[in-house]
Amino acid sequence: MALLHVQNLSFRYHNEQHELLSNIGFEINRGEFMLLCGPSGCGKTTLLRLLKPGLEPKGDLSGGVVFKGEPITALTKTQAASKIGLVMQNPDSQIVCDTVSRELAFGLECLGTENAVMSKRVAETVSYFGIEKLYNKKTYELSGGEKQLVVLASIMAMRPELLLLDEPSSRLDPIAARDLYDLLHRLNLDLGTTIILTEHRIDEVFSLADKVAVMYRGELAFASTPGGAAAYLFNSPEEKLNAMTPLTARMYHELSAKREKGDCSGLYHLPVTVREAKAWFERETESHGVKAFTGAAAGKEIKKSEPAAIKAESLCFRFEKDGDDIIHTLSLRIYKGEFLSIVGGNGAGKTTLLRLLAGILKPYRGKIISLPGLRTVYLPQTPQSLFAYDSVREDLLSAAGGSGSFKNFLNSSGILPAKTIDLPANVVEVAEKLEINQILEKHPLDLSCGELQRAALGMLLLRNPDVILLDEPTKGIDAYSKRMTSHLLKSLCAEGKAVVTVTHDLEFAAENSDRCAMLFNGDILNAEAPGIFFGENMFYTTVVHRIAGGVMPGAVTLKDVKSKWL
Amino acid sequence: MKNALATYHPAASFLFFAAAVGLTMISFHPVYSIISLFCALAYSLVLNGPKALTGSLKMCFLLFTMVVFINTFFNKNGFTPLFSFGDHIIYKEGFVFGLCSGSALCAAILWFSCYSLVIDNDKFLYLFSRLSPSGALLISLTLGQAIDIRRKAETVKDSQFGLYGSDPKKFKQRFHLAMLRISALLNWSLEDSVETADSMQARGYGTGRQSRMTPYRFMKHDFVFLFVVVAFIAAAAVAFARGRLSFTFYPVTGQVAFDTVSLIGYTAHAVFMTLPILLEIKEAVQWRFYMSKI
Repeated sequence: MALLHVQNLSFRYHNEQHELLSNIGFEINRGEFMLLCGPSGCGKTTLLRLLKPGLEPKGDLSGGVVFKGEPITALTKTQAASKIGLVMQNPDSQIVCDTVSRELAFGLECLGTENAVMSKRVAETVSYFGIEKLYNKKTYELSGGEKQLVVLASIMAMRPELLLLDEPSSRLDPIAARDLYDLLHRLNLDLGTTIILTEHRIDEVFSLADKVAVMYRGELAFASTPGGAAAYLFNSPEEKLNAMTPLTARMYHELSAKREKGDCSGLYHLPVTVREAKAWFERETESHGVKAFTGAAAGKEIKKSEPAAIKAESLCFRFEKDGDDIIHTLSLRIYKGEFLSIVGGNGAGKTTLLRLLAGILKPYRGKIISLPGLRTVYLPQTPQSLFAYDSVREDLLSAAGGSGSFKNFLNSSGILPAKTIDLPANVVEVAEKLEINQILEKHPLDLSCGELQRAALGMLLLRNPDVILLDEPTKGIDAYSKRMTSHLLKSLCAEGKAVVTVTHDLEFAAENSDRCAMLFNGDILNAEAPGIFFGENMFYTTVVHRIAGGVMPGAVTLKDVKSKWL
Repeated sequence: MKNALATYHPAASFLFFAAAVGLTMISFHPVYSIISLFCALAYSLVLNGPKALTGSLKMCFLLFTMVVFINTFFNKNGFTPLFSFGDHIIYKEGFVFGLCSGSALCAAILWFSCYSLVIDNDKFLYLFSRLSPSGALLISLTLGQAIDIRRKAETVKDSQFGLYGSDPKKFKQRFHLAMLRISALLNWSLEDSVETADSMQARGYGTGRQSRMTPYRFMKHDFVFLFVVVAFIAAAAVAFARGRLSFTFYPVTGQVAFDTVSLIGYTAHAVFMTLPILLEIKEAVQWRFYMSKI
């Protein structure tokens, strides 16, 4: 008997016309790990919430969910809380208490567990998760990744039979995300916990799952093995689905297609791990050979004779007088029209560097020289911090009018009678360029991460910037939005603006940037074209290079590999 | 936790501080107040090390001087003139009263600063959560949220600077930006607190009786300490009832008594107030002894 059986589930919010979920049906057996993927707004979150009694959205529901042979609505409140666990996106807001020990016991305390039982359960969970060092800390001292582990541990201490996770890694950096996935994998293998996970960053979890379900426009489009799902995604005519294909599978598929000169839609199983893909790649290149290696692919030529837009000379910065330097004797030049990516580990000071370049922080030694009249804008990792109004339109207007649009503020806050102001031409132009004209009347916080980020970029563009500084622009957004962001940023570079991103996303850096730089120990080692930068690395490099690097040194993107493929 | 008193059960250590502050307040007597002040000062030095000489101590000294000064120069309730300049007479009574209330006030502040190093929020909540478990949770939630909101405010400020550039000079524009900042912070925090509520609900908040996990157990040494504290409180209560702890300030300052009973009272008071330091010494000696055995 299946642990969970979803039968013809359809759902519609009261105030909306179309169904958000239509006719969803699937089964999940005890101990299975299911990945539920789909572009933003496809209804993944709504579906997960319908599986968690107490958090189900209000609306018209038909069909049903059967949990352990009984309708899910028949569970008592206590059972619903303990048997089905839910981890959500934002680690900061999921934490309830001020100390880690409190937080871990929170769920058990809510169920009224005895002190002795509770202490033992918490001790057991902490030991299994290996978070002893966090136990005596305050929750606000933890990093996002650690917070997410504590939330997961707190839920696991209640011993759920079904664990639901709604994009748990979207606010985490890749290293913390990998720790979380490893742990989920271990929970699944060691304890047989049944897991349903939704995720945008699917490449790494694809290989962990037993079953991958693809949702699109409120329907369950496909459900099968990971390999099957990868083939389905790649062959889908919908761009939003195609964009989600894991890189390993895409590489296999595109390269085979090039060789066969025909479609490979008959293929059912695709490699989903680097190991599988690498073995296949080396086998193929051995039998067919590759084009001669003609040096690493260079990025766009940068005229170094031109004066740099921003010149940073031996910057030093620290937060406390007696602390260590976060940035130490760092020199960097940013040229107009270039796309510069700065990569580096956690806590390397990437965000601090951007804040220095933006002028928010001041170096205690060294200086930053900008060309006269240069406009620099900066977007932090959390675009939601930029939205002050109740609609995207008003926020864009505010950005367009600068800080002088006091009257607009009075209008929108209801102090003065509201009136519709026609959008100025530049706002209309930016809205079209960023494809946000459909969401102008929405509340900023109702947007998906990708939409929110595009709207924030729109606000920045309305300031007519020459240099755009972006902190983790790909965090939490779906594959299709990532594609859009890449195109957009490249077109901005073509207009002569400089784009500087700080990112953990190596594929994104390799595919888009003209130069990549690594921040390590407070200093930038050297900024080079991505082909050289990643081509020489072995661990800290793109997935493509890890697969193909042995045969094709210097090939760091799929485009590079395709150009040398015979 | 490095200090000896903090290793005792929260109920025992809490009662000690309650008694120390309470006794300082009710024994409005020059000798008792000064003893209390010096003991609090000594304990705060033991807990903080030389660091205590800055921070809270500086503030205490300032406060002390101010109270003494104001009472000396503006308190007209006296009869015994000390000296005068112009037609402004300085009375002994005002000076003594100022001295006494200054030391009592500073002693209380110092005791509180020590208290915060021994009894953290978690212990406090443990003690009072029995009265209201959801109240205790609310405090815990608020403490966490306050820090979160402060961080968000910083980010909002950053992103506003990143968008609009340097701060405008005109008041109107600055006011506008400040309003936008508050509005953005509110939007963002409200959004997040909805998720916090969901997270609480998902883990079964409100399903039934809330229990509480506590790491504290009442041990033998806690009982002994608690017994000593209670005994002192009882003795102090008897002394208070007999008027031994009060002192006459007006119309004329009374004499400080030095009879046997009073001397016993002063000594007992001093011993009680130095209890945490004695514990600290006992711990240090035991550790020395223990190390020498290895």
